[in-house]
Amino acid sequence: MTMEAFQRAMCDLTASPDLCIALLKSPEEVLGRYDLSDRDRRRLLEVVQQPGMLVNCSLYRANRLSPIYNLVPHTCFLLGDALLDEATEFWQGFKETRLQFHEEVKQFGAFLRRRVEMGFLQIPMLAEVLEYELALNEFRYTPRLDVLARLELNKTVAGESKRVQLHPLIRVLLFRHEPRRLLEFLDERRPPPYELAEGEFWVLLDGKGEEVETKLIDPGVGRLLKAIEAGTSLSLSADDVEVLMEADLTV
Amino acid sequence: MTDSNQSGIVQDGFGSVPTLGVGLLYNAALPDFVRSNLDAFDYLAITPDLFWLDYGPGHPDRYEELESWIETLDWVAANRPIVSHNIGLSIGNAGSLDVAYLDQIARFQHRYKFPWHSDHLSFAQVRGASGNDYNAGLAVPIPYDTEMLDLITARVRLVKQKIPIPFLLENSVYFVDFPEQDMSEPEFLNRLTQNSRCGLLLDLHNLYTNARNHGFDAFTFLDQVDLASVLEIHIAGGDEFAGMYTDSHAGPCPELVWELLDYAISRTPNLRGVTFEFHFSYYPLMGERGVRTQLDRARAVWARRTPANKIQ
Repeated sequence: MTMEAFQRAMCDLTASPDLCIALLKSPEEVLGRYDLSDRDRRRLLEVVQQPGMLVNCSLYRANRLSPIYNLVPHTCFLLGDALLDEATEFWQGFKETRLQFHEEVKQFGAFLRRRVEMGFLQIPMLAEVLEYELALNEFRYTPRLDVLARLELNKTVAGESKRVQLHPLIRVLLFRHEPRRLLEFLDERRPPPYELAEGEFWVLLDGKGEEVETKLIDPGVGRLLKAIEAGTSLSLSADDVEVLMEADLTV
Repeated sequence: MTDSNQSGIVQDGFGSVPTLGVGLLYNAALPDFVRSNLDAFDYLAITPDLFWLDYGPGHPDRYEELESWIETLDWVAANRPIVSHNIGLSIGNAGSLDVAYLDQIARFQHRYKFPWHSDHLSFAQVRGASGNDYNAGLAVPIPYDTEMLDLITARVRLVKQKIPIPFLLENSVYFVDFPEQDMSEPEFLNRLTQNSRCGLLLDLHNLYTNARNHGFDAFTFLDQVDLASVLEIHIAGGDEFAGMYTDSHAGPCPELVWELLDYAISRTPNLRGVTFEFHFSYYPLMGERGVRTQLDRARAVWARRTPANKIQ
């Protein structure tokens, strides 16, 4: 048991500079939380005083931040100085991270979404850029050929018509700012200007090909596809359905 | 199949392992490079964990392959040998060993015919208070104690049973020094390779990093390790971070790493490959030419191997 406890204590300390400080101030209180041998206790007390523990703590944070930065870079850019505080807050509730970070980035996205909705984060354009990057990530980890093959198979075995659903490799997103210019600025790592045109802009992401295609679509079509995506009950004419199917937007 | 080595220790299965030459550790920046620079490397080392999504222990379809990554891998595998450098075994974890992960590595080995595979002498998973294992956030070095030696030795045996090809463990970087360890790092490595019959993946940049941060002589370290257990050598670059030198794989190798490679190359009779590794985010700085320069330089050192270690 003591080896397991030692490793857990070592990892807890690496994840929390505050815990390292607490250990220095009140060793008995902190070490008492773990089932440790006397040697383990001496070791932990010694290593938190070494400069290398600061490196461990910094690397831990860098290792958890860098996948977030790689997978939602524009969101991180817009967060700016708030990124580290938001990530730290997120980690408080998401300690048991996994080696593969796609799930963690998804969870971080959901955390930011809640923070925006609750009004804790009031950064212009953050919400729409976040949704855009999360959708791109979803495509990055979707087995595209597998999905297409399954759809093809379903086509041949499907008998009666079912309710219209959005194609699994299509996403529709609502932007409140002109998306093309907004994304151009972010691609160049420049803060988007405040005078960016505002309005109702619908963007369609098409992940059926090797590269994800992004295009602006008519607001009416955008609203319709969003309603289909949400599973809203719609009274579509047979002609409407045929148009959507032929455009390969629904299944 | 067994080989005798300089110290009289017998290693399993090295004799049948092909000598590959100079390799490159694959990363996210390299799909175009590997297709247009096939002549630059003799083999490709991969971190298999990057080629799939892992939904975690207990998930019915735990592993899902990433199509575009697999496509590139299949292409390279048709043209060059592949070796596997795993990151998910967490062999020093005091909790349980992830046997399903090992089965997944075995499936990949069967498919890509790795002549050997490797992982790190550390733990990256830790048993949480909930009873589940979670990621430690970095590869945490192990204390060089007898208890740890026994744990890892038993696990190496299991790995070798499941995947009957040579299995190597890589010497770690450490930023803190655990006091009161039962043995020194070279002694631990020697006893581990002797007791478990695993090979050693000698990471010269890790050694350089430790020597620089902790003030010991890297060449003396090499003299103390049984180099006959080394099948593969890693070389890389690093940089300063938070007041210490780190193994960040930041671009080209420091000069001293090249000197260490020069020193080690004629003292490793079972060496089968030298792998250059870098972090994908440094590719824009290094460029195609920068990567080729490192590989060419490694090849020049490789050509200076003594006749003794060319006879394989």
